Amino acid sequence: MGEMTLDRFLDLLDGHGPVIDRWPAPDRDAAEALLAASPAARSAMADAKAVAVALNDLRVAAPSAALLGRILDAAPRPRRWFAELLSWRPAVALAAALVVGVYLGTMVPTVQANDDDWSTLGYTMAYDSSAMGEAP
Amino acid sequence: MAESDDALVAAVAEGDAAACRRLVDRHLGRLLAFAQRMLGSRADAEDVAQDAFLALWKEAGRWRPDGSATVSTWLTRVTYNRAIDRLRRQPSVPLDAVPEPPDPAVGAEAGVQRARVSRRVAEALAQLPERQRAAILLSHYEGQGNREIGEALGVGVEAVESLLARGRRALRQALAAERADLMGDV
Repeated sequence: MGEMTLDRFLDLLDGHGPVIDRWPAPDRDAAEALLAASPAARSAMADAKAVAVALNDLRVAAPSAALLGRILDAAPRPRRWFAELLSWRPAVALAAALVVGVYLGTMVPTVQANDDDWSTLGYTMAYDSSAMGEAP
Repeated sequence: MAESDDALVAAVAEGDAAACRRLVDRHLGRLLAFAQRMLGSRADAEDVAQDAFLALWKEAGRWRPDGSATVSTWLTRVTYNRAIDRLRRQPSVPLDAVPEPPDPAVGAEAGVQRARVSRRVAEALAQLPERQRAAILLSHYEGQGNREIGEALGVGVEAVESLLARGRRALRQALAAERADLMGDV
């Protein structure tokens, strides 16, 4: 086991905290030896422990019910199919209009014009004229 | 068996109020304490902790547990970033808003002395650079490892080691003169 310098001891103290059991295993025995022999090492160790004690004393009050309420009030709500549908209202309206349009289109009878239709129409017009008393 | 945070976040995305409550119960206390010790202001800390959860509610539907960040680390990172944003806007920590010291009523003289010392520690903490302060807080109060702290602060493990060492040294040196006070009541 080599001797540990005070600088090395302080580096380990600040790097790992005041519990020597948490320091790297190869350094622990030398650190304990220096601690026993060096008032400066003991003083630094005492300061580090004092810091830990003081930090433990810095308490923070538990969250208030008001804070809890604000956070939970903003939480996502359960999904409901009707609400989902409403959120898609413009798209749903367009789709519905499309469906109705196609349906109505299929229900109206289709009329196709051909030559016979036009001749029939001409005959009808001539017939209607005579019926009104005009000269044929 | 307790549900994992990942499972709870998936339930949150479906609007499970109980899952929201469990996540809040699990993390709000520590996030609020972290924020308050970072900022020195209860009101700001509450805003920051609330923001972190609101961000989680928003993110829940897209959350994909892939091992790169836990819910806990993610919340800590958001809290830290929000706290840093506040500190940049209002850099000085108000001294009348440092964390509550222990109740002096415990014992007249000893309690007063201990409260004074706690206040001094709070002031010394407030004077640390932000990342050193955050590293010290996450290590001391939450017992987080260097890797976890690094993920929360967005730095590597070696940088965390350096932050912790410099932070501890600064606190130790700042409080060296008060050592007798600190140890007198423990």
